[in-house]
Parts: sequence; C-alpha cells; structure tokens
Amino acid sequence: MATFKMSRAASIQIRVIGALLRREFLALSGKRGGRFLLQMLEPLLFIVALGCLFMFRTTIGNIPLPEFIFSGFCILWACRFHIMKIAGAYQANIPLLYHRYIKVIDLFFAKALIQAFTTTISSIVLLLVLTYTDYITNFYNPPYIILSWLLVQWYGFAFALICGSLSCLSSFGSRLNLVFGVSQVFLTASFYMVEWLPRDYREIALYSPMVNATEMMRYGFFGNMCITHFDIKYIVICNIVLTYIGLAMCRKSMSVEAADDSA
Amino acid sequence: MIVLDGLWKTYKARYGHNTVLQDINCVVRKGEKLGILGCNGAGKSTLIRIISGIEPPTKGSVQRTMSVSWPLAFQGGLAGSLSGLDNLKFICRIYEVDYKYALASVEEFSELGKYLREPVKNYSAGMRARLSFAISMTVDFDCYLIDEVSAVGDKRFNLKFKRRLMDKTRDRSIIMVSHFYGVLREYCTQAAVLDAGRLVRYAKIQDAISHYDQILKIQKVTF
Repeated sequence: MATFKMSRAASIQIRVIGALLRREFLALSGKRGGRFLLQMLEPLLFIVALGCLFMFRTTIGNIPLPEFIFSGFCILWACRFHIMKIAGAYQANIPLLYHRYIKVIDLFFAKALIQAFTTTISSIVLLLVLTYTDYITNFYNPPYIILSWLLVQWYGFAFALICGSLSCLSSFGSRLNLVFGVSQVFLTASFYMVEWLPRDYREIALYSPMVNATEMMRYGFFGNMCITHFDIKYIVICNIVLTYIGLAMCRKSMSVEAADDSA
Repeated sequence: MIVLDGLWKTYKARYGHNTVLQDINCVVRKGEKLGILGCNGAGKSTLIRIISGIEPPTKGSVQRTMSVSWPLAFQGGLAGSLSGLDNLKFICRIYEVDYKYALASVEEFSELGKYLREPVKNYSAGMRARLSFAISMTVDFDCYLIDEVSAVGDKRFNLKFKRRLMDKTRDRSIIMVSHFYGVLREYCTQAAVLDAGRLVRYAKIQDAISHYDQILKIQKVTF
C-alpha cells in the first residue's frame, strides 16, 4: 500500500466525490432536463391520489389532510429512494472502480448526496405549491419540520450504506434490498398516527426511528392540535448506530469490490 | 519503483480455495519495461489488477513510489451511459488533467469527431477502444499497466497507436501482459513468465519466451 497522508487522502476523496457528483447531475438532468421533473412528479401524483382516497374513504379526526399526507409520504419517499438508488449504484458503476482512487464508498456518498438533493428540492417545491394554494396552512413549529427532515436524510443515508454494501457483498444481498426498500412502508408512519394505535402497539411502532421522525414532523405542522409521540434522542442514537454499521460494512465490502468484475 | 512483496491471491470457488498467485516478489524500477507471459488463467490480469490497486492481495503488499495507471485494457473505466466527452471530463477531474489540453489530444487521436457526443454504450468495439486508449494517454503516469493490447482497430490505427504508446512511454515504466511475442519484443526490455502462480523473471526476453514455449508444450491449457 502506498503511504498516504491523511490530508492527501482527504483531498483525493473530495475530488473524486466532486467528479462523481457532476457525473450524477449530468445523468439526472438528462439531455433536456426532463428527468428531474419526472422525479418530482412521482410524489406529487401519489399525494394527490392518497388525498383523494383519504377524502372519500376515511375520516382522520380533526387534523387537516394535506399536512398529514405530505409528512407521511415525503418521509417514506426519501427513505425508499435512498435505498433503491444506492442498491443499484454498485452494479451500474463497476467500470469506474477500475480507477484506484474511486472506492465503493465514494459511489455511495455521491449517490446519497444526489438523492438528498432531489428529495429535498422536490419536497420544498411541493410544500411551496401546497402552501401557495392554501392546502397547507399549519406551521406550528418549522424548526421541528426541518430538523426531522435532516434526521430522515441521515437515516436514509445510513440505511442505504448498509444496503449498498449488501449489494457489493453478494447478489443475494442486492435482492434483499428490494425487501428493505419496500419495508420502509412499514417502518415509517406514513399512513397512521401513533395516537390512533391501541396503547400496547404504540410502543412497538415507536421502536422504529422513522415513526418517531414522522411524528416529529407532524408536531412541527400541527403542534398541539393533536397528540404526537416522539423522542429525538432515540432517533439520533438509532442513526448513529446505523451509520456505524453501514460504514463498517462498507469497509468490509471494499475488499471484494473489484473481485467480480469481468471487464 | 513498484515493489511486490510476498503477494498471494486466493479466490473462493465452489470446490474450495483457488490460489491464483503464490508468493510473488518483484521490483520494477522507473524506466523498466516488463512483459509478462502466461497461459490463459495463469493470473496475469489478476496480477495487473493488484498492482494497479483496484483489488487487494490476500497476503503480502504492493508498494508504489511512482504513479501507476489503471489497467489499460480497452474496455474498463468508461461509463456507458455518458458521452465520450463526459467520460473524458470525468477522468480529467479525477486525475487532475487540464480538460482543454486533453480534449485536443483525444479529438486528434481517437478521430471520433461528432461521435464523441454520443453515449459510449452505442459505440462499436473499435470506437470504444480508440476512445479508451486516447483518454488514457492524456494522463501522465510513471508506470503504465497494459493488459493485452494487440488486435485493436485496423492497421492504420494500430500504427498510430504504436507510435503514441512508444512516444508516451519512452522514459516511463511499462508492465505489459501479452500472448504475442512480437509485441513483447517491441515494447519491453525484460520479461517474466507466470506459471502455476509463480513469477519467474528473465533479463532477456528470448529466455522468457523459450521458457513459455516449454510450458505450452508440456502443459495442456490450465484454468
């Protein structure tokens, strides 16, 4: 191994991630910039569809519908996107690993930053539209909304590191990632509020950090209009643990990264 | 200088462990040009990948005190969904090469013209090889790793390619893998034979070639 100084290694990594980011942006915006809009269309359509469904089929008590759906779906969408996109990052970029400076973790970082960017921008645009058209009117405590969003991105990234490493380690792992992606539907409180659950089940639901985060965002919107249950400390601890596991798995997957390329 | 110190490489296979490289010790100094001969499956490409640093050895170490290229093999290292130009930009950013200078050289050498703006996945094999080689020649390395370069493009391109490679590597090191004796004689000053996981080095290319001929006679192809 070459003897690298820490600062030189860091500068290489920043350069590589920067180059990868520009590449991702090119791929994202496509020739006519239409792809980015398409990415935004998905949550928009889903929110409209869900909104219709909820309006006709159920009553959700005294809280307004748009905020409820927005918080639930955007969080689910952010987590799922992180996982789905990173799961494919390794397979698609094996040729790039031909360059010594590029490691799998750089691929994951670049992908995660891009995902965080798309989902955040899309959510902001969506929020602006919904606010402008007076669908969303409650902003009880905006810092909570922002903080919960940051925690969601962190969680998505940490979870995605785990999934990405899995896809490097075995082909079974990349199948497993489909399950992880879909399981976010159950791990976030997209379709319910914890308060609606029977008392015994609340505790179980709150084991998931993203249920906490969803509740936190709803507290940011509704404040005292309804009862919310969340524990910020718990989310942070879960995220730290997940990040640790993710980074450790990345380290493990580095040793096999180029082993199965056939080029 | 590149120092290979007690390199081992084993892969897991269905039937157990497959040892590809056994205790390889080798020093390549600046300016030395080493050709490596070996049967199919002898582990030549694996060795090149380990030297380049994209794959870790199972045991032993590689010390590099000069800059080493990625394995130039006319396939790897390009992203199919991006255009040739974007691929070039990407490489320039990673290896800190001036884009304008690189672009001129790639345009001149690859002769791809307007196709440089098409996605690489739509290229023919020859076009891809031309682009790949042109891009790799824009980056300056002290040592070039070359994984089987023969049979690329038509005769004209082959000549052009030869001249460029000679030019570029005049005072640099080369580690080259090839089955063709002619190519080795042309580019290399020393040669080694990789057989049954061991590397035997010869000061004269002719000695390596006769050793390799012996192996081919005795042995049916090993995988």
